[in-house]
Amino acid sequence: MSPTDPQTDTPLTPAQEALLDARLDALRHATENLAAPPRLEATLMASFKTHHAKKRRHEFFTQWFAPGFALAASVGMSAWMVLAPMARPALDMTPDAMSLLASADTPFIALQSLEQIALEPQPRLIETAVPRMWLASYGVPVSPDVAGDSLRAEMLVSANGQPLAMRFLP
Amino acid sequence: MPLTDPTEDLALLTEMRRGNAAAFEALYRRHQAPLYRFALLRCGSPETAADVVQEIFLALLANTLKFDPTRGVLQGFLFGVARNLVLKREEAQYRFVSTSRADDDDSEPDEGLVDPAPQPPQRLLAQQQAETVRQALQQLAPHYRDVVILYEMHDLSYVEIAQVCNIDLGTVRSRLSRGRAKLAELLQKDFAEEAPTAAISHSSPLEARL
Repeated sequence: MSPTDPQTDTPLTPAQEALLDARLDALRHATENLAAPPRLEATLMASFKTHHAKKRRHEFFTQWFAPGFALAASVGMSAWMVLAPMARPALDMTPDAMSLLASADTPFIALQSLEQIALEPQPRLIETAVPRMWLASYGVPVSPDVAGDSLRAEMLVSANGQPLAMRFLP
Repeated sequence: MPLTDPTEDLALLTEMRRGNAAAFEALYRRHQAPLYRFALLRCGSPETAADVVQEIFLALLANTLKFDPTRGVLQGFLFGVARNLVLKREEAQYRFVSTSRADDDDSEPDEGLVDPAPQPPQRLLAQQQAETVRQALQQLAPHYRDVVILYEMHDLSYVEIAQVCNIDLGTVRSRLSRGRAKLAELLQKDFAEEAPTAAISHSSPLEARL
């Protein structure tokens, strides 16, 4: 047994090889019965028991209690969804302007083209008061006697505040 | 050549992970002694060697070691873990200096580890010759010591040593050769005393017997 690298090393002489092997053999024999202290096995076995007892508790919980908790959470969530008062969607949050106009009892007067109204991504419906004179600009005849009065109206406006449609409220 | 059957090791490891205490005990009994001996010869301290063995099995127990059976046998893997643990402890104890010693031309981080204040050697073995060799081993550079111990004391092949030390086969070969040569040099005094007898016994066993 002479693991010598011929490229880089000067080999040991046969005598040196023999003596080195003999010495290493002596070391091998002297250490062959050495082992870790016996207390170590006891310590590790105790650690094993503790570790697996914890693991078993965790598995027991996972197997038997976790599904129960999951079921209870699902029931609770479903009950909350059913029983909690539903927030009524604000009109000004209605995304579809055309369906909003179609569902109204009193018809709206379009102030912009229907295409433009339909394309409006975030229309808002706001209640306001407008001077009766304002009707005149849309071709509605207004008596001069009541020209200074205000009218209650709902106005559909675009996200940037541009009036899209309006209707008068009784 | 592995000292334990790799298939049995794997079966025991699987059983151990399922919580079988007997499997853990069997694994421990199969591997503790070689690991202890390796750590003891590597670091020269029975206490540290015991700590290393304990740490290895606690990690095995907690499943924090990532053993991949497709990349080698459990025994080699555990030797690798033991070596890393010893290196970590050495890094904490020793100062790390950049050296370029003539006999340390293989590049690896542990090459620069030198003992700042060598302690008087602690006698560990009753048998004088063996103790002399053990102390000589302690004087080898750590990367030579690893290879010499694994090859000479644990009968690991070059391939297995390469896996344990994470080096290539050529490096294993050269480190083993240089490690042995250095060991022979350190033991030169003993050689000088016994060489004539050995030479006689090798040249003519019959004459020596007569």
